[in-house]
Amino acid sequence: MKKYFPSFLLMFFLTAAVSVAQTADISPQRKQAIDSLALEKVKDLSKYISIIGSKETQFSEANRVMDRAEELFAPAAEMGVSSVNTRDVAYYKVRRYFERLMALNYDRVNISWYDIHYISDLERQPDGRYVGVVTVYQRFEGTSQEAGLNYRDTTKKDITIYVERKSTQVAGRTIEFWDVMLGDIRVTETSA
Amino acid sequence: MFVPKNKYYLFPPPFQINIPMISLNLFTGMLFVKKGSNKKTQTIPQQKMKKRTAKSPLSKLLTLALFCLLAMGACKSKKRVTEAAPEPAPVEQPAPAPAAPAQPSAEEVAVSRLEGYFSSIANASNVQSANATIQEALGLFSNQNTPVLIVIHEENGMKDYDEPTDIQKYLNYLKDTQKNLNFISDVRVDGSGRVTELELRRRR
Repeated sequence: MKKYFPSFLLMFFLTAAVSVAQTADISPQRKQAIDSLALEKVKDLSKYISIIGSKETQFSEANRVMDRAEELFAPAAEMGVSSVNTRDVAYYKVRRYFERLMALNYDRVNISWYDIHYISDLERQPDGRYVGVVTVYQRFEGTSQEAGLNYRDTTKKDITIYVERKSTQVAGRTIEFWDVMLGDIRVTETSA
Repeated sequence: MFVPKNKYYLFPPPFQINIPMISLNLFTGMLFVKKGSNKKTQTIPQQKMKKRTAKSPLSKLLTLALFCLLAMGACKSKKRVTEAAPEPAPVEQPAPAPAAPAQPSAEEVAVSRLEGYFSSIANASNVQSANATIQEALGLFSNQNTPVLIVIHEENGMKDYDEPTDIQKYLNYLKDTQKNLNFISDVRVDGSGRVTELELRRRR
């Protein structure tokens, strides 16, 4: 048995090397598809935030959308909240952030994201994950007719994106997919 | 003249019909009756027949002339037949029965209806309308957890998928995001025609 040990060791290293090479070699078209997938998740989040914040959304519907939105994030991810009235930026767990957003004391809330783009392309890390950063601009408008309260601001936010290859069982088959997870959302600028 | 056993010929065999005891020569019109069964068969022409023999020069000449006449007639006749042979009348072919339109398969029906539902949900003017369409669309599936796979890229036969989801989540996704980015690339149905698995693909 001992005489075969070097052969086994060599085969192991060769297999590992081939596996690493296959994972590392991603064509530009494939990389672009992954980039687009991740960017689309950020756009989905913008829709979800708009629905959750809207006062026209029914409670049950807002809760359902909160669940979907929460699924986009990595565990323990945080969302930064800023105001033109203070220099502090508060960070909340995403679920808590959504709940606060839904409970804002305005009659009408309008949130929109625009100019969504990568500021740091997805790059492969030593652990095999791809990490990148997307920047968005958020326009917030809250109005309360009774109190005559109007608040609006524009915030620039950076979102860390993690993309990882995973596999799952679907109808008895193993499906390998690209899991996109959003990390912390950091506030970088706030203006009226 | 050579007379074979129990047979005799006055003229070339093709023009002679031999029946037991009787022989009729078509050229000369002479009828012979075979008398006796011994080797030396004797043929006696009927009394009404003219007495002619094949050795007669006149008979030979007449036979030759008749033969030529028949041959010429045959050629002419053949030519006429060839010339006059009318084109075969076009046979009235029964009009081919119009091919019965191929019945769309259960998969095709499902794809067609689902594409319509997806578009309606994504473009619904309000949440109530979208929810009603979602409930209608769910009726096409074996259950609400029917898996939905989304192919984002394919290269060398290897597919890259988005995270698998289920049909209820996907229909709500269409409603929430109001965008219909994917088309149906594969569908699986059960025996009752209900969808059991759906594969979508990114539009380019």
